[in-house]
Amino acid sequence: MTAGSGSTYTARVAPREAGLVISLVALVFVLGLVSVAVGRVPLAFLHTLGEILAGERTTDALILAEIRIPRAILAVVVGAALGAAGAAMQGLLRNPLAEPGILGVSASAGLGAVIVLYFGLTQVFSLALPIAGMGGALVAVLLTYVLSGRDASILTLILAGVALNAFAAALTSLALNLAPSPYAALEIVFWLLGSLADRSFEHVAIALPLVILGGAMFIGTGKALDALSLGEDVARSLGINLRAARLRLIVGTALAVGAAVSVSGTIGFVGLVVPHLLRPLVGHEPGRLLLPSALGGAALVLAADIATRVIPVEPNLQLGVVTAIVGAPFFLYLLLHIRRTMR
Amino acid sequence: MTPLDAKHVSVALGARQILTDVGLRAEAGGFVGLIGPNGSGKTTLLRILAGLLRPDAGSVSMNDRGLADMPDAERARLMAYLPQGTEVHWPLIVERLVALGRIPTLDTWRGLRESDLEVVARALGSVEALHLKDRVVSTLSTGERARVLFARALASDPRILLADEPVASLDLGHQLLVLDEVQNRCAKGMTAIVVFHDLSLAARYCSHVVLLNAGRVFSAGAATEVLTPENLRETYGVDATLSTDGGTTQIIAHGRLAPENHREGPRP
Repeated sequence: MTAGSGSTYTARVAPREAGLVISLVALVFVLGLVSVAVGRVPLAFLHTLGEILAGERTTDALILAEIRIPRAILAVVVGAALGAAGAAMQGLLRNPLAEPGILGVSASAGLGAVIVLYFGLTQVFSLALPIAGMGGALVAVLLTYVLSGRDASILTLILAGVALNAFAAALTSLALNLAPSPYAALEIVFWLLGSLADRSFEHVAIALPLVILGGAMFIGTGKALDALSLGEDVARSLGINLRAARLRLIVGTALAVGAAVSVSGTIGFVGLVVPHLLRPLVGHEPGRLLLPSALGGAALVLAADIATRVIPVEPNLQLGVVTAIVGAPFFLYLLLHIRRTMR
Repeated sequence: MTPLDAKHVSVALGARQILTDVGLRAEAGGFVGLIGPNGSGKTTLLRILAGLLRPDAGSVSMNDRGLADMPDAERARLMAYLPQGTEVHWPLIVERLVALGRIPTLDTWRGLRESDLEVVARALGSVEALHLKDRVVSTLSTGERARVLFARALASDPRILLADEPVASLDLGHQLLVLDEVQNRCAKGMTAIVVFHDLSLAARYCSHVVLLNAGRVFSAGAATEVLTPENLRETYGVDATLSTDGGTTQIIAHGRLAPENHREGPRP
């Protein structure tokens, strides 16, 4: 490089991108604070935090440490997984309508959990639900891994996802159909609506490592996603190993989304809307969209989870209901807006 | 050292034989025109030369090394490939799109630097598209987009350029501009293999022309040797003549021949 490399391109673009990332981090932090402060029991947050640090086991301290904080952390983990996976799938498939569940992972993870609920295994073992969810996700991961390892076309993967989604939905319906009691059926339906209520640090311990692992697989795929803007042939001619990039994006998505669904149920629209919303802020470059989408997803799920607690209805709204009610009309608005600006 | 040398290349896609025993040799500084009627295998041959498709038989070497054994990254540094069409999947900023052409020259974790942007600006300038630098690609006209994508292919400063009908959607002036740029770069040692539909442009620019017909090389050599009325009659099925006006060769098609007067297939 020349002597003037102080003024690198990275330096020219970085402030804008760093600004976006910093704003999103700040947003996640603020929403995280609101999330731990809001709930059925009013808490003096700083005072209670002091109690926790002092090792006092008051009721307030227990609520904060064992209910509110893991709930906020899970919202961040689940939201980040869905946001980043949505951006990864949209970039890989070069389709703004792709979403994290497109490969069938969400539905398979959901099915695993439904089977546990159906047989009432949660009474036997409290973590049966997320573990079965991970099992379901793993089946979907293995299937997509085998398919993409065979160098199957993107179309094959999407169609396999369609089949997997349909099959999981059919078995879920079967479980509802044959549910031993109306209560069991209701439990299944409620779980599928998605929620972060009554989760513990054990759930964090299950989801967090896998979401981090999945996210780590996305690192370094930015150039491949950018190059894919010009089509697969050009990307390959630019020296991109498409097969490796595709494998990482697919397996990373499957791990992160599978882990997220296992602990939270299915939360729709986050992975679809967040990348859409942030794309114009990174110049529509798919490679630069991954990190902001993870942060944006975390913020959105935190906000939606706060909404389930402050909207005064009984029983409380489920998280997936809130994201869908807000997300679907908003998505429609985005589509109309994008139509105007893109074409 | 021969930049690009394909020998006895055959390939079938599905049940259909696309290329049969095709040879093509491009010297350093050569401007090779690839011509032939629709479906004669031009694009498939270009994809094989670019290393995107493996031939069933035959071999391709780049700088005297087998293309099959060459690492993707190394091939990408030597060669740029510009496919037909002007589709871009996201509404990217033009400068950033052209900068994608720099990918082969970047280290794994290094982003773009000011020096990369200078190369991008030069590439855009060489096709009179520098003023489009900050535009969103989806707002460009087809011809503007074609020039921008051409600049993307030049942005890696390739030693070998493979371009599939790069001037098809350009106006007359910009066709000459783009091909002049290829010619200038060839004069400095670049090797170009370009698919043409406009035979007059091929005659005007190419140092060497390869005429494909039904997946075989029908004729190859200097433009005047290949673009004869007989060859054009047998391959394109047209009654055409060559005329030279002020040193510029023009191919004038007077009309289509009845199908029995030409055959789709190789010379016996």
